[in-house]
Amino acid sequence: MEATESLKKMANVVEAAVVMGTESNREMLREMGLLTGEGLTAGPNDIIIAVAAEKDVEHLLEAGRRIVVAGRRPSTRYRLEQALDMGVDIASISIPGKYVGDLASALLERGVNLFIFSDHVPLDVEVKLKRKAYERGLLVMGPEAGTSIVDGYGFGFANVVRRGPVGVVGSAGSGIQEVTTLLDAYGVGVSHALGVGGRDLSEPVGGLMTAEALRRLEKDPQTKVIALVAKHSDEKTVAKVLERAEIRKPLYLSLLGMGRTSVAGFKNIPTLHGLALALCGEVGGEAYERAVHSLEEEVGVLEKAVEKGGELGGFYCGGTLATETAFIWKSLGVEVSSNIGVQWVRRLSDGNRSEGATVVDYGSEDFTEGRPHPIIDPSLRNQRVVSELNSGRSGVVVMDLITGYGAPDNIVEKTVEQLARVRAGRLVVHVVGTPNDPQWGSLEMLGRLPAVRVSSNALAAAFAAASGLGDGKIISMVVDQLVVG
Amino acid sequence: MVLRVGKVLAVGLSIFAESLRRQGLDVVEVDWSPPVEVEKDLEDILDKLM
Repeated sequence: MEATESLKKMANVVEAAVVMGTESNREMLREMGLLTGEGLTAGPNDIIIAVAAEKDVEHLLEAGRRIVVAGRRPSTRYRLEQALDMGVDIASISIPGKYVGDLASALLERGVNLFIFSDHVPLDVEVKLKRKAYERGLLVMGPEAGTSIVDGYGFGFANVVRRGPVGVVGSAGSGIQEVTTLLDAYGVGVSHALGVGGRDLSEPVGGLMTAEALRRLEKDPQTKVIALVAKHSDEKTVAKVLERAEIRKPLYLSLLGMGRTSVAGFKNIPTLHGLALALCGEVGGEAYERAVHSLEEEVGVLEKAVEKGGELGGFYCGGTLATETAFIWKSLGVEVSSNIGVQWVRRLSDGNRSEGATVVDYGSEDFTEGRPHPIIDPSLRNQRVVSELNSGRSGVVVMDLITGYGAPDNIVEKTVEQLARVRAGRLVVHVVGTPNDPQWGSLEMLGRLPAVRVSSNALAAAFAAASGLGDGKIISMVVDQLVVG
Repeated sequence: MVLRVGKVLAVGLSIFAESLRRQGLDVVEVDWSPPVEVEKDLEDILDKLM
């Protein structure tokens, strides 16, 4: 991504991209008119340097080659053994998934706790690593851990939130970000937020690290109330973990994609906004009143802004937010097509093509092979938003914009620049962030877009549905059924 | 203590190592590159030779 930006800044360049030659990247280049020449036959192990320029194309391609080669040169880095001799407590791992197993195993043997961002780690490797960690009393956050906040320090994608009494365990990265930022907005802080990876609560992994994280928060004196956020989880595994955890502190549960059922005696809260409200109520003080008041006010404003808009589209960098939107729309009787990998939606045959009301998670493995996570580079998602709205395939599009650590400092500028080409339809944006995030100051630029900004993903999904279906009452209905109560 | 965060080892994307440094953490970045993948044919030849 840095190579692309460097190339774009050079004289005479109209458009440029430096990407791995994966199918999704080649599709992106095709849409940009940059898939020509050798790029047409490139494979996933090739790097494509594509430049459209007013003149000097060959010179610019050579510059691109030099930038790529220079970018591969390490700066001040150490060999693994040297680093381990320095006495590290925790490791942050973000190398391609197929190489994670050996490295992670070696680190566990040296007593190092792990945060593993990488995806594409084989499931059997994850199980082995977590069993090894469990036996040694170590914590493995991930693989596929998007977010953790440990003792106030953010790992992966994390927002700068205030410290406080709420401890979070989550197998849902953007879900952790949504809850912790909403709490921050209501004046409630977080002790720790431990992301355990998207598959931890699956049957084969058995919730090993969810159990370990819950145990640690139960013992932690700073943590007064605990929240468990999960998506795509196996209900029996969740129940087993909760039954064995012996949690005495108040515990609130949000299993995304599930309604108001109960698991092991705990009531499920179907939305992240609902979970934040419940946690505010538990913490006490003015937070709950403040949260409810701001919700009521916003619903009033949004109801007046509803206009009939057409087909629904949800295009996300945060996978948990995509799941939440799909669930809300499905609860309203909308048939949803998606790539989020659950039984209760129609599976999209091609993530790049909408089929009726469509929700796409651009952080899913089919879009991240050979390219950065969309929170780091949302270009592909942003281009989709523009083409959906301008072509009329979607009349109303809802999307997230995630700020904080791990997201580039210019994420807002870049997104606004890319979305400035929207000429039709209705765009609904939910920003996942806090005023202390490095990018917060740039958010006023969003005012340049023809977009409605909404304070939570659940409300954004409700507003989009109300606009798509032309019925303002839908917003209150979603709030009453899935957020409050 | 839930988890001690003193010195952090970072391997992989530089944006994550950088964001940990920005938070004031002591970060030790490890040089990592994928292992050289020896072609199956070459492996077979080496097996025979050794």
